Parts: sequence; structure tokens; C-alpha cells
Amino acid sequence: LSQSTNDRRFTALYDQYYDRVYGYVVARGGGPAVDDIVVDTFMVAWRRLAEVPGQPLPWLIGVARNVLRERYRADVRARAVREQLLRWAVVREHTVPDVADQVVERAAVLRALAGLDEQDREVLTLGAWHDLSPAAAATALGCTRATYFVRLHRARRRLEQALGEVEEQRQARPSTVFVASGEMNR
Amino acid sequence: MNRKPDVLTLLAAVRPSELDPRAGGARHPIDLAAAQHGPVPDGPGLASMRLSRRAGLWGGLGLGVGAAAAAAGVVVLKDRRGTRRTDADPGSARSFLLTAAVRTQSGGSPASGRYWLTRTDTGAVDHVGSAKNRYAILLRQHFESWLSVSGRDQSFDSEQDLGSRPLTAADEAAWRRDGSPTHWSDGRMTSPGRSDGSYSPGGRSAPFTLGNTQTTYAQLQALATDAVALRTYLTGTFPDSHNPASYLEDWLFWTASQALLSMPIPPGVRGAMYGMLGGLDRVGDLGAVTDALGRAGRGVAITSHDGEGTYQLRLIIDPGTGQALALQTHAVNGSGATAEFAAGAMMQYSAATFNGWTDQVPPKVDSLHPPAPMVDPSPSTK
Repeated sequence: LSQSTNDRRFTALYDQYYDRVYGYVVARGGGPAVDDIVVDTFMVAWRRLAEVPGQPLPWLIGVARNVLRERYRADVRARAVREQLLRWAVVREHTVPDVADQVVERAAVLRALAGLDEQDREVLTLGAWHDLSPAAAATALGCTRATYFVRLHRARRRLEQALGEVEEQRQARPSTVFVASGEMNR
Repeated sequence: MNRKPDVLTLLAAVRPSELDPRAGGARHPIDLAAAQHGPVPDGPGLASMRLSRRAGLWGGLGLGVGAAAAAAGVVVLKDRRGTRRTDADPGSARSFLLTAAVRTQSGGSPASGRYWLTRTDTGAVDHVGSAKNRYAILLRQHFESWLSVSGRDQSFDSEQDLGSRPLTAADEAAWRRDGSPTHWSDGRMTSPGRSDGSYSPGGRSAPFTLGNTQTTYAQLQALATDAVALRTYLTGTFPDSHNPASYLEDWLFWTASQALLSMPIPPGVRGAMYGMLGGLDRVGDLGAVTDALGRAGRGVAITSHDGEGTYQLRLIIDPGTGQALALQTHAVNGSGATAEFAAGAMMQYSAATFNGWTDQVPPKVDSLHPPAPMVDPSPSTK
């Protein structure tokens, strides 16, 4: 392929998937280095353009995962994600959609998610927040779809349980909605 | 069960707006010239332990990361009937694989065609139901990869969920007691899904994932035809930063199996692959076995261990032609995620139903139909 064909193909890839990769990196604790990590991800795509498959997004997410892993220690990143979720939980700019009406607050969901481990959080959000199909999520995680379903199933159960616990706490202390400085429990 | 909304729906509803780039925010420009140089981070995790770009079954086993020292190659398995038999005799594995190596040298040729076509049927067993009424269900999937190596055509990939169903008659009885559910909370359904296919540009320069290395067609043709040289080359590509050295043999077994099942390797290299397998210390002979699709063959196996238990990777070969038929995982001593499998029970399989050149053309995306029902995999009791 000619150089200009490669350039065009890459530019299309970048335009089409920048936002998706950005969202993934933010959700996975990219922190202040989000832009760098997104750029590094696309640089890998540029150097390996010949390997980029027909459905590039799971591949790109897989690269971004590796870039994140190289940059941060897993425990540091997991803590960053958790604290970020708790911060988002106290930002009240979103209204609770109808589906969640009077059942559970947005903050409670985010707080329950913050209480899970990072692997569960990733499995749950690949579909729910990043709109990856089960096949795409499995590819991004480097596992089979069957394994993805099993992991999702388990993570979903843990989220349900965590949500139940957060709700109990909330009902016990209805006025205490916010949690300061990343502390889950009072 | 309860009237609460589905928790994933809730989760989707609270997606933070912070995940979207700031409106009007400048994207960082990328210096493509500079990007040509500098260190290249690893590709996605899918580079490790996968059958092909899309048909991988084995990544999910946790193979490769954190694998502890593997058990000895000779293991005593207890099948579901409770009879004990010693599997995996290393001596006879070696002689059988040498025979396969010789067979394969004479058969086949470096033929060519418009597409390199692989058709793969996979299956994965899981346990569902209540604590009192557990049963095994088998999820089957079909994968096709039509690879235009020349780049004259577009390549085509498709996958289809063929549906899940109880594994054995006993599992089916338990499934009926469970109310004959047609779907499960993890997303599995009894009914097949649509075939999901897509085209991509053909002629990608290195479309074959040999072990962890993206490999060109020409490189596959140029691989060593000597077992020792081939092993030396592949060992040089072992991702040892992620794996203990004790895992090398397991990885070579897996890598050779993938190549034999899905890649256009010339007969001489095919023979060297079998020769290399025969030279692995922990590979043993299973004797005559049938694969998950019921095809008769001869099995060789290696026993692996990771954080989720001990299991056996079985490569099943057609002894008449030297063609690899299937790679299967069987439980040996489950813990964690594998605790519910009886020793010897099949956990996953990946069976090649076609692996060769073709001048046929892939289906149009909008005309995909569910294929005819597959041959039922035999129960894992033998």
C-alpha cells in the first residue's frame, strides 16, 4: 500500500475512534495523562497499521489497555479509578433517568461500582459505557466470548450485591449522601 | 426474579459525561513521521494464546499469565464413569508424532487459491442453575476467516453463536427441572444468533499470529523444516516477560497446535511442528480418541496448571493424513473457575472443519443465514 493510502486509512481510523478510545482511557484511570495515553495508542496503530483488523475498536481498546498497564502500576490505577468514581458520584449534574426512577440513585450506582475490583469494573463498563458488543469486549480483553459472559455474569452479581449494600446504608442514613475524600465507608 | 431494573441497564443510564472528550477540545496532533520510530508497546492481549484473530478459545483460560510450574506429563485421569486410566504416555507420543511428521511431509502441497479459509467450531462448557440443581451447558460458536493473502480481494471474517444447550442427558434432565430456560442471566441463549460477518482490507502484511508474533505468509513458508531449529526460533519469540520459564513447553504446544489447525504452513514445516511436539518432555500420548465433533483421531496432550486449576490441552490428529483436527481443554484437577468440572471432563474445544485454500467466495454480508445444525459434540465421558 502506498504511503498516502496508509495516511488516509490512519486518519479515518483516528477520526472515527478517537472519542471511543478517549472514553475508555478516562474510565480506566488514565488521569492527567489521558491525552498522552490516547496518542500512544494511536501511534501503535500507525506503526502496526497492517495488523489493524477490519473492526478496529476492540483492537484499539486492547492496545490502550497495554499502554495503561505499562504506565501505571495496577494498584495505583485501580485506586485512581475508584476515587474518580466516588468524585463523579457527588457531581449532581446528571438527573436520574426514568429507568432508574425512584429505585436507585446515580450516586449509589457509581459508589457500588467503586467498591468492586478493577477487573469487575472493566467487564461491566465495556458494554454499558463503551458500547462494545460481547464479541468486541471479549476481543478487547483478549478472552473468548464465553469467558466474557461468565466474567460479566459474576461481576453483575457482585454489582447487584454492592448496590444492595449501598442502598441499605443510604436508607439507614438518608441525609448522608456524599462521601468525602474517596472514603467508601463512613 | 425481582422487579428491580437490570443492573447493567442502570449502569448504562449513569454513564458519566466525563467519558466524552470536551466539546471543541483540541485533539492532540500525532506526528506520524515520529511515530515510525521509538519503542513499540506490546499489541493487545489477544496476541497471547489465541487461535486466530477471532476464533480464539484459549485466552480465557488464563494461560500464560502467572502459570505456575506445570504438573508432570503423565497424569492419571478419572473419567465420569469412575474408571481410572493412565493417559499421556510420553514414549508413544514421540513415536506417533514422528509418524505424523512423516505422513504430513508426503501429503498436501503448498497450494494456492484466492483465499486462505479456516472454518472453526468452538464450544465452551459452563455450569448454571441453582446450588441444588447444577447442570452443564455447552455454548457453541462457528467462526470463519477468509483471508485474501494477495490483497486482490477483501478479507472476510464471521462468527455466529450457535446457541447453548445442556451437555448430557443428565444435564438436560436438570435443565428441565430448572424450568427449561431458553436464556441465562449471563447472556447465553438456547437459540442461535445471527451470523455476524465483516469485510476488511485484504493483503494485510502480517495476518498470522504465530505464538505472539505477527507473521507474514512468506515468513510461514520460510519457517525451519527441522524440528530443533523450529523450536529454537519459536523459543526466541516466547513472551517470557509475562510467563515463567516453566511455561515454555505449554506455550510451544499451544503455538504449534494453532499453526497446525489454522495456518498455511508447508508440509516440511508441518512435519517439523510435529517433530517439535514429539520432542517436548511433558507431551504424552492419549491413544485413540474422538474429538468434540465425534471424529476419530489420535490425541497427544500436555498438562498445564494456572491459578484456576490444572487442565490438559489435547491436540487431536487424524493419524491417516497427519491433519490436526481439534484442540481441547479437559479438566484434571479443578479449582476456582474450573472446580465444577469432573476430572477428564471437556471444558472447551476448538475444532477445525476446514483449513485450506479456496477459490470460492465468502458470503455477502446481507445474505448471511444460519448454517445447518452442526454435528452434535459427543459427551465428554470417553
